[in-house]
Amino acid sequence: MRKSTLDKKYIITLLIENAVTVFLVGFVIFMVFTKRSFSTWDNIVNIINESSIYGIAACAMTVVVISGEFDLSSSSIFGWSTVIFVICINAMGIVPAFFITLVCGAAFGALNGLLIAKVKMPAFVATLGTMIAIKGLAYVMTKAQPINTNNATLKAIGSFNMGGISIIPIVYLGVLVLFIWFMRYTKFGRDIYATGGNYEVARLSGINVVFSKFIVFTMLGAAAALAGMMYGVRIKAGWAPYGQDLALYCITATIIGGTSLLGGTGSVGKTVIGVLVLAVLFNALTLLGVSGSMQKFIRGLVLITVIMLDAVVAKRQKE
Amino acid sequence: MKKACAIVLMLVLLVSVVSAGGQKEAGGAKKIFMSSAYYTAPYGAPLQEAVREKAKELGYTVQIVDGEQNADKQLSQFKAAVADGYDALIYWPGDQASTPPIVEYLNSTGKPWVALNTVVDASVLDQVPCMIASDEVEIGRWLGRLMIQYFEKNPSATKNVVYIEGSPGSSYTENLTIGVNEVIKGTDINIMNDRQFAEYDPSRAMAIMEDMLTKYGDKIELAVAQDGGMFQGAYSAIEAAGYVGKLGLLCQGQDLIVRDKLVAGELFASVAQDPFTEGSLAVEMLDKIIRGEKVENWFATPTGPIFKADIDNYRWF
Amino acid sequence: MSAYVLEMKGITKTFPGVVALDDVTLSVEKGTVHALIGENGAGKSTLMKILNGVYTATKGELFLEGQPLHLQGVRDAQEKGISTIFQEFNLINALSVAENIFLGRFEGKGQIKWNRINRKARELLEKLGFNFDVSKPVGKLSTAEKQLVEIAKALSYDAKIIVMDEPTSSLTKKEIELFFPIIEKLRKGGITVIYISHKLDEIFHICDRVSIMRDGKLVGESLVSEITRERIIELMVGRSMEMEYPARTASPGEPVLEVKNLTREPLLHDISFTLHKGEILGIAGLVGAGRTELAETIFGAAVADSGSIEINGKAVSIRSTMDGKANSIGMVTEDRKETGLVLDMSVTRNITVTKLDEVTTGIVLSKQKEGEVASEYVQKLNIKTPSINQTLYNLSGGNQQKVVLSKWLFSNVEILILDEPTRGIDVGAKYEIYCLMNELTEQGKSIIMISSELPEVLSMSDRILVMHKGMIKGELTGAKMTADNVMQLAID
Ligand SMILES: Nc1ncnc2c1ncn2[C@@H]1O[C@H](COP(=O)(O)OP(=O)(O)OP(=O)(O)O)[C@@H](O)[C@H]1O
Ligand SMILES: [Mg+2]
Repeated sequence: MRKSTLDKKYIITLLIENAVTVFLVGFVIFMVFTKRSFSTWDNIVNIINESSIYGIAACAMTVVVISGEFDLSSSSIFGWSTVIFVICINAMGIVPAFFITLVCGAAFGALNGLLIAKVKMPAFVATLGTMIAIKGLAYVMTKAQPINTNNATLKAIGSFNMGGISIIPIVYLGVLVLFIWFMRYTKFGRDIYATGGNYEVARLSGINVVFSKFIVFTMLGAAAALAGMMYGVRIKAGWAPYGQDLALYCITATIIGGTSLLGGTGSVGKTVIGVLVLAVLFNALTLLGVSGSMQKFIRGLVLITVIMLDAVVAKRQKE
Repeated sequence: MKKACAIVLMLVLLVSVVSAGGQKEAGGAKKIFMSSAYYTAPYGAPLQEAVREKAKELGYTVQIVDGEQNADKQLSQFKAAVADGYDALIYWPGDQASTPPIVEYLNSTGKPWVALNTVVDASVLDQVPCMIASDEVEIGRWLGRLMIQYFEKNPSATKNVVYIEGSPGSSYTENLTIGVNEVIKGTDINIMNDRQFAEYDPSRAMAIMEDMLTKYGDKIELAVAQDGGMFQGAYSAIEAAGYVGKLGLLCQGQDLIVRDKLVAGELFASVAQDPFTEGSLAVEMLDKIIRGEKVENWFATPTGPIFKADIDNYRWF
Repeated sequence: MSAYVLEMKGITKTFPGVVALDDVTLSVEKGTVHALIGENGAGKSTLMKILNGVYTATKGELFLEGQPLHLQGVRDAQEKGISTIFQEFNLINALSVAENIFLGRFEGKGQIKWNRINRKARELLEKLGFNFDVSKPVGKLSTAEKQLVEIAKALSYDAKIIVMDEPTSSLTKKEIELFFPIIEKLRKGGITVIYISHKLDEIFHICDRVSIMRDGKLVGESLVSEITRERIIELMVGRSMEMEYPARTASPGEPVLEVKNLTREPLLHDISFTLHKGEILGIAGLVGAGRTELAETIFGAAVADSGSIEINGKAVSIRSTMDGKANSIGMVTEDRKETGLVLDMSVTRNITVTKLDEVTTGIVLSKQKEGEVASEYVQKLNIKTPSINQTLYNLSGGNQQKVVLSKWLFSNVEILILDEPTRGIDVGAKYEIYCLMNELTEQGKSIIMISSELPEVLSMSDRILVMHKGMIKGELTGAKMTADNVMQLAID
């Protein structure tokens, strides 16, 4: 049982294990040298602002994935939230609107949680159902019309800016820190890891597995609602189809970050890298003059590459 | 093995990014940037093609990206483009309500720009340098008028119509329906179904039509779809049920399927909405703005009925 | 031409932070049953994984029948005549016996010739002296039957060497008795068996030679007939051990747990018994007698239909594992991989999972406290791991078992249920665990121990309950606690 020394193999392993970060850094360096406009402050701020809205939901999605599940309905909760947020702002002002939207989002999440944790429906079926239902509800509420708002406070919040950084990245940072702390330093976070790692083991260790699964969906509901409101802050409008790609985006960012869909491993911090990869890639491709269709192809390629690398790492670790 | 695959993929990735990025900057030509909310919609492709053609003709280079009907994404795209020094911008919004922040941003850049196809929110309409769009209500009116014409040619006591719409809440869908209702109000045309949305998806249109055929069978006398794609879906259902020729068909659009069915005499008529004209008009107007000429605040793309006899007067895609 | 069918020369294998094997040389004669024995984490499984192509050695050479051997993978090894029967079977439950045996090697062009395959499968089983329906899905077989299928599969590859890694650890006593003749048949057929086990009796019973490992090195080799049990233990553990079981040090006090008329159809019928303070209550019986089900029901992992449980004279309702824990009951489950450990998590996290409150300051987990707890148990139970942050995957089987025990020891419950607590644990470590059980009962804690190892039950229990078909068939105390009496009650 002796320590083997730091050798070349070890460094290679380290590089491969952090391939996504290596890719991100490499890509950023490449961009800095090929495209002057990439490293302008305006553009950096743009990347940060852009990635923040979905980033908020991605943090919570990661927690759901760690618990061994996933959630399709977060897209609809997001869309619903943009709608209810704008309606409530127009009707009673921003503060009640904020709380109502947040509570609604959490309630939808809790519904998912109940169906999955308590009724033991598979997440795919349960969240597919709620996804359709919530979206339908949002359509009914608004007669399917998009609505917008001229609320002065919202405008003021929307135009808050610190060296180009809007309020949204600040909220994102707050959410991020909260989730990282929650998952790393609280008992609940640990219970979620155990539940996702092996449900039976967690149950037989006396962990409240039902609560663990329930709470992750509730948190995601609230986070999706918060993200929806941030969208409202930026766009000042609400419509049911907004954020249709949210769930897939969040799951993609989570996987790229390195959290396994099997549950039990990964971290919220890793997902930040995933979100950044997507945002940088998206921004860079636009700057490089890549057309829309080609962008889609490249994004797909990135996802496959990352998953492939993941498999390589898994194999290495086994040996 | 897996490792080799990953490495190959990485290489492909790098090469495609580099080469895809390589085909830019053609000398000192001015650069146009377009964010298209409907990049992958059937109507988007020819429109974008026309934008590219016209831009080339007038000596511009152009980049078009997919806004994915996500206003926030489109805002970011424009910001990136401005940071990158594009000279002029074209904005194809996804929906009305979300347009104000983007219109405000575009104006704040001081760059020449135009908006296309989806009419922006009324509150900011007068701030758009030039809005190029078809008069959607007018297209709807034409659909209504053609329904009336159809029943003049094929008299009936019941005048039963199945009407398939696009996406609930999209201004295009809603405006068409406003136009249709305006014209058929007071006539005895009977729209049998409550509002049915196929979301511009042919397979959904097919499912809706199948349901209608099961429910009403040969009571249906005319089927109307809001665009060519949904028409195609509905047509498949009608074909499968063996109803081709037994009921009238009507739609809007200029795609090739529509043309075929017009030629075959199975489609009574279509309403023109010309993506080619719209796309090139947008670049023309933008060119004028760049050169400092005055342009109209609003520029409508022409519309009107297309019958079998008129086919050669139109461009098809 | 060498006399050895297999030679492994100077094998070294390192993992990040660990030297699992250090210059090991092993030579095996043809047609013998060769035992490989050593304490947990000594490197037995790793050595065998090099032999069957799962790992490649960092250093060293292999020779099969005198020819240098280079393996590309498990399949390659199989085709060259080296098959392994792992503890976790490599069988697909939904497929039939025949399909499993010939998986990936179906005969016929385009269309599979089922008749031929089924006949061949039947022939293979008959060679082993068995005869059962080869079209039955493997999922419906017992553990022992599954093992047979694995052996038949090895034979179908014309195996020269079959490696068996702790083959009897999940077999019942009866099944083990049926298992030994099979090994005998293999030996007669000229097949070499490498046999890993922690059960010394078995080695004296069926093996010809024994190699003993400690800390990644080969520390001894001998004909079984020329070595004593004591000497083997001494070589393994590195010191001599007088006894395998310590004497009980605590004596039972007043009742703590009273189970009355507990019924859970169709597994448990009308079960009543009492557990006393400071007592070790052994529960014996055959596999399927309902012992694990009884444990589950007391702990709250399953819910009883009727009956009552009293703790310290008060009736309690236990409907979930959380209730169980709240009533200070803990349970070490019998299957560490499925129900005992989160293999993806570190040693630390697995140990503290049952009682995170203990390592929490306010609502924040204290990594420092966690580390201290983990280090304490790693030391106490002598868990071999490069660090407390190692994921459980990379620990040897026996060391994993020690982590399962640690996790419930740490939870500090008053009533601890141990279901097969020493499965896969070496003799040295077993002794340590028995001492720990003594220590716990001295502190006034009570233990229910379910075990299929008779000597263990007989030596460590204050009292024995024997279960049969979901009922308690008898209770043995004092001088009545003999192997004969237990078996009499356990069998029909
Ligand atoms: N993949 C791996 N990565 C890191 N360390 C490993 C790995 N596999 C095994 N080890 C370490 O190598 C040592 C030998 O393990 P091995 O499984 O061979 O022991 P063993 O003799 O079979 O023990 P047991 O009797 O408990 O099954 C252990 O210390 C173990 O922690
Ligand atoms: Mg082992």
